Amino acid sequence: MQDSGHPSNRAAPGFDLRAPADTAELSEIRRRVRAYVTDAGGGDDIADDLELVVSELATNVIEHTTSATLTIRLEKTLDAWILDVADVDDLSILDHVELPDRSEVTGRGLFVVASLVDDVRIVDDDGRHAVRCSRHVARVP
Amino acid sequence: MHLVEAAPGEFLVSGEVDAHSSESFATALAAAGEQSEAVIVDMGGVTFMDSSGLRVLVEAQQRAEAGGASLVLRTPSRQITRLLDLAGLTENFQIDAPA
Repeated sequence: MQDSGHPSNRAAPGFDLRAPADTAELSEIRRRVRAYVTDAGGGDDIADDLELVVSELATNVIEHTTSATLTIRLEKTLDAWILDVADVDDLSILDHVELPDRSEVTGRGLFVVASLVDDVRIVDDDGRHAVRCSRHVARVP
Repeated sequence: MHLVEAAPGEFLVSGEVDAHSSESFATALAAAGEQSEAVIVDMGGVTFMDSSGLRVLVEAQQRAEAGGASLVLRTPSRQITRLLDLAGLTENFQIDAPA
């Protein structure tokens, strides 16, 4: 699934983060996401969930794409938290998001992401593809 | 992520478990279960874990089971308990949480 454009009904200024596509950056990325959520009025539940979502998606970009850079964008609109993680070069990444058998060792990350947000899709941002997750502000964790 | 073997078969884990630290976590747990009937992994000091940590725990659980041992997760945080639930893995582990 692809889409384009940015949310425009911002409730709080968003933040953008570019970092090397390196797992050593994950901790700082999560810290920045939590700080933004807290500053934008989110509680621990949403902070925990968006930390997990960004960690899974950033790891996916690092381990499964050729991108040398991670680009993270997070903003709170009037009705949703919008998280973009780029660059994604495999546009079929979301085609089969299923929970594997309990005996399988890997393959749970994207299923967990899909469980924590209300919508997840690939968006086209000036030729750069990102995974965009949206979570309603009013969602009960 | 830090892991110490506090007693034979009992491991204390602390810090963050993600794709950056999961290999260290896996290496530290690699020999778990070889000499114990139960492998206890105390997660009380883990401040964050994602599916990279789940992979390590599933591997350790399968290894322990193959050796006739069980794997116990002690004092997992709310974040870890929620992750296990979302990933459908709660039943894979014996969880020892405070009442």
